Amino acid sequence: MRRRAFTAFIIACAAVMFVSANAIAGAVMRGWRLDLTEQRLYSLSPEAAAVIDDLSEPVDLTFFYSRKLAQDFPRIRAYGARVRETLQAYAARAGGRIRLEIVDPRPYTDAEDRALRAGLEGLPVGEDEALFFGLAARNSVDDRAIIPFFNPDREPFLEYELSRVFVEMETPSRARVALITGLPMETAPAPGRAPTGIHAYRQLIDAFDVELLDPDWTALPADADLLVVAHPPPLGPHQLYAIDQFVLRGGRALVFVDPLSELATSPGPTGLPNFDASPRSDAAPLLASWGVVYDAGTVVLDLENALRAQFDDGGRQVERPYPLWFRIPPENLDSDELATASLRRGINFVGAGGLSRRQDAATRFTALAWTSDASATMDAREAQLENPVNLFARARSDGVSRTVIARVRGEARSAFPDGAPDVDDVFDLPTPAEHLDSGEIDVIVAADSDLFNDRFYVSGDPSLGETTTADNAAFILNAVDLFSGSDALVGLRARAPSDRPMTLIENLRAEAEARLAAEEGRLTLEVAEAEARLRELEAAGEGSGFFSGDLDADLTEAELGEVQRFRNVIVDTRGRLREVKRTFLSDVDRLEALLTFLNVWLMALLAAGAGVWTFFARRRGRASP
Amino acid sequence: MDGIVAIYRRELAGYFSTPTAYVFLSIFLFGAGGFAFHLGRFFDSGQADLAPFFAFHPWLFLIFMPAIAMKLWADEVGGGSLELLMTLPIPTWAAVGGKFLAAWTVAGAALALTFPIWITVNVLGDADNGAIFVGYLGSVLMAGGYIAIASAMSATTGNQVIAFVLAVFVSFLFTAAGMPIVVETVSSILPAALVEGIAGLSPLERFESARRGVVEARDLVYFGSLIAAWLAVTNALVTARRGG
Repeated sequence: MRRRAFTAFIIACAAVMFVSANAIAGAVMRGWRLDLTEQRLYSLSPEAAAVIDDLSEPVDLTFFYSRKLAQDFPRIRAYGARVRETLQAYAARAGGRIRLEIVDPRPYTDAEDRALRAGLEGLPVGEDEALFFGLAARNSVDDRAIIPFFNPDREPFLEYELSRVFVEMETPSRARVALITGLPMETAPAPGRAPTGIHAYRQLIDAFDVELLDPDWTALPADADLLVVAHPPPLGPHQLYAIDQFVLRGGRALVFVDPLSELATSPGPTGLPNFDASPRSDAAPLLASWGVVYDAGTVVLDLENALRAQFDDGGRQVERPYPLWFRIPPENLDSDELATASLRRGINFVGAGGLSRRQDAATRFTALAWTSDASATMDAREAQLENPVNLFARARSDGVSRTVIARVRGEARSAFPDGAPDVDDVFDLPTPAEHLDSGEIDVIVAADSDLFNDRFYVSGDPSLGETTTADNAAFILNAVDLFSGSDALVGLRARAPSDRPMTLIENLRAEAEARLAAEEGRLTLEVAEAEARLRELEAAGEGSGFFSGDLDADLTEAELGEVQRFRNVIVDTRGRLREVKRTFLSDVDRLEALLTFLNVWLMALLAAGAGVWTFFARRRGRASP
Repeated sequence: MDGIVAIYRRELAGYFSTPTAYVFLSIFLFGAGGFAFHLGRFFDSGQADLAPFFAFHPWLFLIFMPAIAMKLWADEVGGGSLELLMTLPIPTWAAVGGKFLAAWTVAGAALALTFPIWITVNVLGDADNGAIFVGYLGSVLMAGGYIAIASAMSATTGNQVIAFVLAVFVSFLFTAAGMPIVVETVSSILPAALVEGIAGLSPLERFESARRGVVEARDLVYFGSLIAAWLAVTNALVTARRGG
């Protein structure tokens, strides 16, 4: 009996030791981690550490977290722990200059009032309860910044969002951005909601003071820190002149022009597209004066980096690579330029144009993004009308890579050598400042406005959490940050887990698709030719045989044979076309089957074989004396 | 120390001299691959990582580890060889440790034999091998935890089948502590800190960071203490049998 009691006592001791060891470890070893992911995704990054080290004023952080309510939501619970620990890591790093207070705002308490007063958003759960999960920050000179709600979808951007809070407090006056655009930046509202903007635009308004200029603006805001021109509507001479002078005076500009904008003709805030909008935009003669060659009538196709498009092929939905849409991978983005260096997922382009340096330009032209060597150009209108299969078949790559985003720096001359243009019809023009004939410029030109196009890189609903699949918005915001001088955040923005595609399978698929496209084109052509020839022959026979009901009556024996042969060719070719479509992915299927066999069956069978062998070896061992 | 090595050798040889271990290995390898490729839809993910592979490990181990550890003590108790074992000049803890290590080695071998999937992701694309290494490390530690539980359950009975069922049941209790359905239920009664503590007892929660490629010191403590605690229980149960 005593022995039994002793055993029970040992077991109880083991339980207590286990629980207390973990309780102590949980409290003491918080944040002791070794991050072996390739990009150190879960560690305090040097960029974030620099932001904390540069804090000029002590900061009070209040982390509002409805811990109890969060228990029902595993993702929020997990993310809540991560946010709390990251904040504690920040506080530890800042050594007293960050004071962290953690508040659980229960319903109907002062804490809940505080959260609401600070401007946090509660997530309604259950009956009049709200889950708070946000941050309010205040420094000693009373600058404030908040994160209304930590969205678990944005976990990879946690450091960016937290660092932004600090940067915002340090630089209370946000950079002023003047925006000239013909794009529907505000999108149709969901029923009962305020209009929402497209993803990149919302991010811009969140981080900067954005002034959206009217189409008939007469002057740029005097205090604008930088200018964003995104797919501008046709600009008047005085408007072009204003931009010209702004840039020559050292104003930074980010210019998006496009030979074929999908976004410009998409529905705007009213739910209808802007009927005046043109899919094509230009900034001539400014681009030329900056030393950039751009043709608004020509699109660039990238056969290697093509994204896939669904289209209707004779009543069937098929998916094929569409070289008008492509993703520029990180290898084709400049790794020395701040705007592109940190992008890990690439940028998606849709109907982009090409940029090159003018031979006689005095400016420095740096390509920031360029296509693969398997690229081609085509007339924008023609390209728009072709379906993916035909486009792929028609595009002839010349083995040259083409630049789609460039940064241009250096001494440039004005596009208006004679000074301000004479404008009669605008009478309230401001008095022009002194004309500058040349100046030191720094601009980024992108030959695609669909970098803003959510359809190609954002998924999910804005109110429920969006995820991005490419770094389009990160590029735009990085470039604006860079030009507005707040580049502390640039390296943090694109710290997303990188896409690790199964390249082998993707390449096989791409090859198979290229083969299919070629084969489809050839067979379709054969069918068309045979049909045309058949029609000719039948037309010849229509003469007299028509009334007797025998269409072939006037044809000679030889011609009749010919007709039969063409009919057979058509049937046969159609059959082959179907066969090609059905089996074009057989390489991929075979590879997948092989790998599945190797991983699921092979080792299992070997182990079973070893078992059988042991079994017989033992029997033999027993049988023999 | 010699004792623990001797027991370890004897136990390990015992595993591989009968077909049973091979049958378990075969089933485990089939299950690990099958879950990753079919249930986990490995190819549909399009990503060259092992997320769909590691995701099923806690559930696979829940069955597989009790299967390889069920005979550790039940065999000796049922077959009457425990008394013989106890007459050897070896301390009980060495026998407990040696047997545990032997079973853990089998589990480690089973995991090592899944190497084709590691080669596969590296052939298919640019895999993050640091993260994969940590995933395997976490998986090995978790396997140790489940084996320690099964070892203790094996010491309670002379019947392997009962040992297996008990081990699966207790392992399930631990694993389920991290499941949303359990957490939601207890969160309505208990304070938040306690709920987080209970969820933290589950290997599901502790395996999470390893799966992402992060070694957390407190997760190491968790798996270490889980193994130590259950081996202490095993030790107490075996000692009790020896005396009783």
